[in-house]
Amino acid sequence: MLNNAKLIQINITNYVLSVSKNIDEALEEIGQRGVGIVKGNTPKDTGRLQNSMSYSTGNKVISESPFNEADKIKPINKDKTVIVGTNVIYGPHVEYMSKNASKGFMLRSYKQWKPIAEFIIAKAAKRGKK
Amino acid sequence: MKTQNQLRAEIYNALYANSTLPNDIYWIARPTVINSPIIVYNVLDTTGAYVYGSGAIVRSSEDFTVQVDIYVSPEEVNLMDSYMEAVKTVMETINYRNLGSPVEFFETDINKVVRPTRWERLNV
Repeated sequence: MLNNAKLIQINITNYVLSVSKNIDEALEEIGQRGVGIVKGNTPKDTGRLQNSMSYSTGNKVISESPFNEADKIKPINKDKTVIVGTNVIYGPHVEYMSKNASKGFMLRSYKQWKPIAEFIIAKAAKRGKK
Repeated sequence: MKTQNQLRAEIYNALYANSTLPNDIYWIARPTVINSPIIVYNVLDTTGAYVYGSGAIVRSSEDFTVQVDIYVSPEEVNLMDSYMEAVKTVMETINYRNLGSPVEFFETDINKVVRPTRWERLNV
């Protein structure tokens, strides 16, 4: 009986660890999808804002080709979290204060990104132990 | 399920009832040069474009994002943080979640400091 209890305990621990790992992988995928969506919606003139789009998860920042390193976002030190964005100084101005259709490009991206992120997370949680 | 008008009224009433916030609360109004501080709120549709009137195209009447802008004159900018905290308290009480990062601008044409905040309704 005691051995059975131990076995169940070990199985549950393994299951939780594998789900946690699945979710970390899912967050990576969500970040990559997010950057793709945001880049698609970003208005482009010089390309600085578009190329600066990066994502951060698990204390690391991934960015393809920013014009300079300061344009990348800072790493997020939270567990099971992903953020997508830019550190370009005029980014908020384009998002909030533009007088043309560029206004709200991040919000549009967020609305497109959210259902995809929900789907990926649900898939990862269901996958369980490989 | 609440309609968008009911949700708008809920937001207005909650903001108006807060004692820290100014009583000048407007729905998609251009801030005047005279009044300060004021709160302006409007609904953003699911594609992020601004919706004027009741023609919002959304999946559910409760699935919407609202933007609350706080306008203060440069002399009163020290009050901005307390207004921000008050807006945060109000919106979280009525079950909204903050979207986006903190941001602040100076609008030169009306000589006001503005802090836009975006809120998404939870558990829709």
